[in-house]
Amino acid sequence: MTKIKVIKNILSANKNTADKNRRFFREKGILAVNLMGSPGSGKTSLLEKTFEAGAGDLRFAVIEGDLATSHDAKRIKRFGVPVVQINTHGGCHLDANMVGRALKELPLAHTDILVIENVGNLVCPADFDLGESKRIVVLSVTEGEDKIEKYPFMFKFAGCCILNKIDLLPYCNVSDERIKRTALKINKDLDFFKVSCKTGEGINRWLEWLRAKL
Amino acid sequence: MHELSLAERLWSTTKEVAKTRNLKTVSALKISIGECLAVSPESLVYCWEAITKGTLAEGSKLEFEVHGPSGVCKDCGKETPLEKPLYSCKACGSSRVDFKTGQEFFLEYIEGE
Ligand SMILES: Nc1nc2c(ncn2[C@@H]2O[C@H](COP(=O)(O)OP(=O)(O)OP(=O)(O)O)[C@@H](O)[C@H]2O)c(=O)[nH]1
Ligand SMILES: [Mg+2]
Ligand SMILES: [Zn+2]
Repeated sequence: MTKIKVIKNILSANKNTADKNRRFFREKGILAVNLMGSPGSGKTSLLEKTFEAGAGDLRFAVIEGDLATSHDAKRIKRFGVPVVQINTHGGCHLDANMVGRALKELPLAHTDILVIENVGNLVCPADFDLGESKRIVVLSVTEGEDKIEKYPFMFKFAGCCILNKIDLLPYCNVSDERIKRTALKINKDLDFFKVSCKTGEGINRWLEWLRAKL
Repeated sequence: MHELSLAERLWSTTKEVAKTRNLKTVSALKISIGECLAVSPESLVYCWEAITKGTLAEGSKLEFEVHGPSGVCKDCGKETPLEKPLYSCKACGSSRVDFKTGQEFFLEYIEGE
């Protein structure tokens, strides 16, 4: 019986590709954001509202990650925004390699902000660096108050948390302020916004934040 | 939730090592794993068994060494174990920390003959 020392970082392949993506974004002067959150929390709706809110001077490009379908890409295309759909076919997250390949299909010489909408999931995407400069988590009031404590890493490593569907607060028996307090307790540096993608409330403040990051 | 792809990567490394070191069978793999990864050892074992069935690593054991979270505090500068549930600095309680351990996944060694 022999014991062979290996010491191999099994996650390094993703990290190296993520660093390569990050260098690429920096060279091109692109703000890359990794948009995460539960299925249905409103990630695509936030993008739609952002484009509607007359972000005319900002040039966006989008990568859509889903297990299946190109529904989200179609929703983005309606705004004339360049978009690539990635289907993970059962994969629970995007990885840096998938993003790297998708980059080749986008007109990035003419892009200020690249939004990568991750697979709806509060767990796995937190483990995978894509090379983004900001992580944004969309949480909706209908998911309940305890999601931050149940999925701490999603919020711990995010730069911004968007509490969506605040138009539904009267029906959900949750406190938006309590959610905000918990979020800031786990991550004091988190920028926190309350929005409704239905009424448009709060969208302008989020746009201001995005502009300031450019 | 992505244990299958991790098991596949473990397997490709194991195959390489077995080839270069002339192993006929592999009996165990030692893995050090961070507690904060979204990876369940139990389901990794399940995927490993499925992948290695009928190969030179069939029946091999995965042994885990689990590492708890530690980090460097951005407020007080100390390196400490991180306190649950907020993963905060043990020295000053700040939530602003850079993780040092808790998110790693290393193949440490392979046993075989
Ligand atoms: N009432 C209300 N409904 C919303 C709001 N934002 C999104 N929705 C609805 O929530 C549902 C899911 O929205 P999506 O934008 O598809 O969510 P998503 O996070 O992109 O979903 P996946 O990509 O499938 O994970 C849709 O029916 C939206 O119309 C909101 O602020 N208020
Ligand atoms: Mg979507
Ligand atoms: Zn401290």
